[in-house]
Amino acid sequence: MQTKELASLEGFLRVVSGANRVSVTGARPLAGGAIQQNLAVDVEFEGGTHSGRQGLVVRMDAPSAIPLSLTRSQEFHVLRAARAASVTVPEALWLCEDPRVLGRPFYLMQRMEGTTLGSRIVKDLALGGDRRSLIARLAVELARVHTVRPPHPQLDFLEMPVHQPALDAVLRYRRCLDDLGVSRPALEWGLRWCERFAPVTSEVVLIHQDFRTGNYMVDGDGLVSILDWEFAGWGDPMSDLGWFCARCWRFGRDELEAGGIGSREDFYRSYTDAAGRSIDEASVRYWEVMAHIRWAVIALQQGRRHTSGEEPSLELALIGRRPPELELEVLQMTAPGAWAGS
Amino acid sequence: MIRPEPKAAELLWLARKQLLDECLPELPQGKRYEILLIGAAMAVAAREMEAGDRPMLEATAGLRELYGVQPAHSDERSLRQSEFPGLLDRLARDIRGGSVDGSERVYTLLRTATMALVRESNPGLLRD
Repeated sequence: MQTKELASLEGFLRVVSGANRVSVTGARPLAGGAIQQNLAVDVEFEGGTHSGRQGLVVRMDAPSAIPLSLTRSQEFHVLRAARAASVTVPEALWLCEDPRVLGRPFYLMQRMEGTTLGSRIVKDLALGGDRRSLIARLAVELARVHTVRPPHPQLDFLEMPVHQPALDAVLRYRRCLDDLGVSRPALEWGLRWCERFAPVTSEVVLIHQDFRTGNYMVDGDGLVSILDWEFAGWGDPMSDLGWFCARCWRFGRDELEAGGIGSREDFYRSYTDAAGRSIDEASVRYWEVMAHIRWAVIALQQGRRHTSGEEPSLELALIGRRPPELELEVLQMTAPGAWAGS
Repeated sequence: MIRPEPKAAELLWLARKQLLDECLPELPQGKRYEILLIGAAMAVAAREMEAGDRPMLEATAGLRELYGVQPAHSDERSLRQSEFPGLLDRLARDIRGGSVDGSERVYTLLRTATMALVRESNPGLLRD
């Protein structure tokens, strides 16, 4: 962060916190976050609502975005709604939509300490405390997310499903492929299966839409925080379970079907107990197919951010090469035998 | 003029090995992720070079067989290259339109072609 930006941020923080003086004593980029940009900042407040030394995160738009993610303002409000529902999330403190401060909208949230790296969490059993307790805790957190229902006064920007969430997803990802101008017959095969076998839900709730290993933080004792709410929306609660259990998010621990860290049975049991909602297992399997399609579409969009020249990046370019792996999983889950009946 | 050995893919594999075996251990921890990304990109590029246009040519042959398309003339390679996008679009449209739901033939074609691409991007997946 440049000196001018630091001074601008300090000025903003002085106003919103009511402090007499604010000093940003440290600022460094946080790793991860191919879609948004996160900065860890250390701030000293003299007076005001947050007097003392605070560790915060500045979360702002990356130079280029992908169409499916929320704006910073929307994400800020989702985070607040989740916290009000007792989901373990960082406190979202201040939102700034004035481009004169840092050039683009941003918000500040409490900084948590721990590990988020999915590949590390699945391998290092010293992280996250007892694994069965962690899986149970994650299920409880997800159940809490799903207690938030429409209409919600702070979340009126979230679009309600037009048809059923499943069919809406089929149409959405077909539109994404059309907008990208790419022919991906393997994804079209999966989407056609999803169209034919779309589950019907009577419930529409707040869904995280990226609830997976890699998007929660743990320390040696257990869960620290649920993160990365930029894809939140209204939808079928089973879709969040499908995303969490999808093979593409197990980081190689395929035998541990719940997020690469625990058994599906344990996860389902804890979710059912906490949510008071039974699990439609066929629906979760459906949403696991859709999870691979969705991740493939996002990967294509990420790759396009690089190939278009909008945001040249080796990381984005490599993500853009991943769709065939996801397509193979889609195909394996929707082999001809899976098409009987509809 | 003929390029001397080693070929491009072999050069990439050599450079990657040097990067990961010799350079990575000497670099600060903060650079580790970036170097691993570079190594991953070199591996994908080398595998793509080794495969050449074989995956595309084989997929085109499969699509032509599926749609009963006969070649009009004998320049096979350039014909397949120019045909491939159109046949791919046609297959995507047919799948979306529901005319090949659950087709074993289409499935086999898709799976074979997709596995050829996974061999380039992440061959370790195919060993499971």
